[in-house]
Amino acid sequence: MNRRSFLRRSASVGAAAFAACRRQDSNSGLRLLNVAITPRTSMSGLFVAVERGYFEEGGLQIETHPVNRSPQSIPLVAAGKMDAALPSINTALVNAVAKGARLAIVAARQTLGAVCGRSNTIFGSAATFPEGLSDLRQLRGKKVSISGRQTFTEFSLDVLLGSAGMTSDDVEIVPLKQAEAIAAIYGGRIDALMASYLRVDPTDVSERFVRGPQLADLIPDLQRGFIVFGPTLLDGDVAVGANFLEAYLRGAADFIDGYIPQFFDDLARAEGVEPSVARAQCRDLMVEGGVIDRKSIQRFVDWTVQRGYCSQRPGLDQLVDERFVNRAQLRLRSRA
Amino acid sequence: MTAAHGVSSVLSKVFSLVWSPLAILSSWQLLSGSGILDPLFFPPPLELLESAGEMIRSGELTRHLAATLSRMIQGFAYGTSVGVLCGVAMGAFPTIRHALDPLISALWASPKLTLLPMLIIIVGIGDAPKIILISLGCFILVALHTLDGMRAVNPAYLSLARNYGASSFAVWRKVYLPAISPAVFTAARLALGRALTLTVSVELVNSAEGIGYLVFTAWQGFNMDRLYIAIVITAGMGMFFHASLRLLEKRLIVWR
Repeated sequence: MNRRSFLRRSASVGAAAFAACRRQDSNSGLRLLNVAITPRTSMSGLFVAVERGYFEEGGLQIETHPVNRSPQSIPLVAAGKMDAALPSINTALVNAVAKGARLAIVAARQTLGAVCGRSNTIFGSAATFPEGLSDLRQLRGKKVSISGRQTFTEFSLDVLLGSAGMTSDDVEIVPLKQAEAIAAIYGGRIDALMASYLRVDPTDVSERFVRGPQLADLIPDLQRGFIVFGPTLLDGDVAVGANFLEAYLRGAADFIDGYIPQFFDDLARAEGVEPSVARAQCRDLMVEGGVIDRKSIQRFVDWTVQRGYCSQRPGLDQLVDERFVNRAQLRLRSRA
Repeated sequence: MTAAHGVSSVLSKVFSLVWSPLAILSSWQLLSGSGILDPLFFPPPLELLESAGEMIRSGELTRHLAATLSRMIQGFAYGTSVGVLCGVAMGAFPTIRHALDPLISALWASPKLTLLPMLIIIVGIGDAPKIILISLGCFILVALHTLDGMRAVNPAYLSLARNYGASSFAVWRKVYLPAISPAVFTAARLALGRALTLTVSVELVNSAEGIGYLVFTAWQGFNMDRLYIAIVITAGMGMFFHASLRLLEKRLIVWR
């Protein structure tokens, strides 16, 4: 063994020993898992599973850690600071895997869907588009805001423009956070915005907006929300990861069947949506059973590489690990 | 002093400045190269240098740096000049001080980034709201320091100057200016630091180019090399501006 591998091995043994001590909850004997989430109603499956004790039944204790944006959870999981994350697909995930980070998508969580709010929808200024914004070619030469480069919003805009035979070069892209973009439309500074996550339709509250096409009209079944495991779960006992997914999927199924988790109304209000509306919508977007649609992932990976946001193209087998969801589904079937 | 002695004195000064960053970089290189630090999260400095070289060759780094410097210097220049004028006016005329005091106190305490959406509505998108925000941060600091400098002028000097028949202009030039200059310079040094912080912060949340934007996109896309390059550049800029103003202060304010 040379010096380098000795040092590497010593460091990993030390880290593993520390992690093992840290992860075992001495009071309950449950395995503690740290999970990064963006607190939203779309996380309801996880919240239901926690509330109903599904994780405890699987010998797990879950500690959730909120992050502002999905990509922020990726370095945390890759570094083993978090065991799992529930992100939307993002360039950080694709790039990290391409660079050799031990991360994988282990289950699907959510599809785009056209029924829930107005995410990934283009809204125009009524002053610029008094007759409405039904044809994307109306955007040619106009100032269109996205929440940032390398985001799902940019992906959505590219796909929508592509469907009309255009590219982002045909419009003037203005990166602005969503709240600022809405303010900029009010102030007449931009012509349109690509909404990343809007549960309230701006056209319902103001006449200054007109609604344009949304990505879900084009590809309704595109999966965008996933569950990602890091090295602690991928390289550990498969049963632990499968237990996690089994509990999550039971929670998601309950939510689809109508069970509402605690604090759901608070989350809905924080998202700016009337709780009764949130309760009525969005269940159909949950992916029951967690089955991963590889085409959805491939589509995003292709875009990431084509855009130059990722210098190497990761293989889908690097990005996706279905061992856990397959095992979890077997158990769910036997339970049924 | 011999030439050899002079050279060795300069070398020892340079060494005293660079030894600690060099020690950190060498340790980082060693630890990352040997795998103790995961190169995925801590790419070795030589790799960073290579990436930085590529970014310079493609013009990307220069573009981001130029955008940040332009915003920062404009914000600093506007904020500092208006701040000095306002501080002097507040020091000279109590009515102005009483009128502006609540406004400045309110702005002093509030996080400047919270004003960004409002500024976007008022002046639109682009660089204007960012520069105004940076100017505001500098303005408050400089105005308050200048005011303190004005109020610290010894009244005995003023009486003395007037008793000797000094004109108002002479009083300003001979008494006020030397008295407030150290405070203004200190404020300018602090304001430059604040300008840099605010520029990078505002670029982090709302920009299409600049060092802050580079940090944001690096984090967003898991490009750790670019993240560290941006951090090192920001730190280097901070050090450079701080040292430059210190030097200028030493040269100009000889009586301090």
